[in-house]
Amino acid sequence: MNLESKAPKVSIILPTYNRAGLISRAVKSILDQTYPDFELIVIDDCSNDATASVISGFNDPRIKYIFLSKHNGAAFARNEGLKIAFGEFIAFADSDDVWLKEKLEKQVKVLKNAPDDLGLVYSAIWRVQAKRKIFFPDRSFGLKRSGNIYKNLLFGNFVTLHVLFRRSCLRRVGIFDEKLPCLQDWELWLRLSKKYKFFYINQPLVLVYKTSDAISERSNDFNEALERIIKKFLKDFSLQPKLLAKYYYILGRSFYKNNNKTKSRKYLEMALDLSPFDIKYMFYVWLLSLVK
Amino acid sequence: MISKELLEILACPVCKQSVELKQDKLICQQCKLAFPIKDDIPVMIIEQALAI
Repeated sequence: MNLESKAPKVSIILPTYNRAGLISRAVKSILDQTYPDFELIVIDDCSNDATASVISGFNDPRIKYIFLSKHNGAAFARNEGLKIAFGEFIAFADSDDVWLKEKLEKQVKVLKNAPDDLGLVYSAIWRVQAKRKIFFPDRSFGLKRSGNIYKNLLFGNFVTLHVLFRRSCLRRVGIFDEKLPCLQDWELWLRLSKKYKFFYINQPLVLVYKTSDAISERSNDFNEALERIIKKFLKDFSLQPKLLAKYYYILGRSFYKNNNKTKSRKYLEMALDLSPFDIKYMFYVWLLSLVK
Repeated sequence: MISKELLEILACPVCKQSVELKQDKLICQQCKLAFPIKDDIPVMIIEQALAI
């Protein structure tokens, strides 16, 4: 049998940018998986470092490597990966992370044996921060993790990026929204969970290392992304007024910190409209009334 | 086959100049390298490129 011409079961998409010092660890953890039937598509988002040489050091026919002429960010790179991926199932990897040996095997087993309306399987992760391992997702996201989780997912992204899903789902839901400066995965999972069931494996299968330049720490990007996501799913958020008020409050506080008083006032007043007796929202609206 | 759109956004990982498609290979004229294509996905791994 000619294995080289056979479509792999899984396409793993790994975007990377200037992570020559780390990517080797991530790639090795993928090549060491107990489930072997995959292609690893490394998308180099125009790195200026030695990434190309590091990848060249791996001699594994499952690795495919493309180099982009311009730096466009991870969502663009992931989308390019989705356009060329060949496998029935798709997984995303990140150059900072380490997959535990059975990550793919456990997720493939679920998806292979599930009916077609189960579109995505995800698992817990270890968040590694200052040498401490923190289990995610914690109980703050509620306990409904499998099945139709769309409504729960509106409360935040507990699915993370460490998923395996059917490539065929993308025909119905599309790919990442490149206009979002961050939170792209949350937004795609919202679209996906509207149409498909999810399945949660309650065991950490990935070590996720938090780096200081993580994009989620840039508050302007976060505000812009959250505003766009609220607009896109406003109808559904409106059915949960307390939650929507909380998001408006988060935006209001964040714009306040960034010195955008006009937007801050707008969002805090919207929060108070939805939750008129909330002391926190009242306090901030009062505080802003003191500032010109 | 590699799509035209994909070809347009690719560059040689060595010199970052554009690459062209010739007989199922991606060619960097500057570095004189030919990168293979597998299952319609380029393999731009320097070690696997052929000198032209």
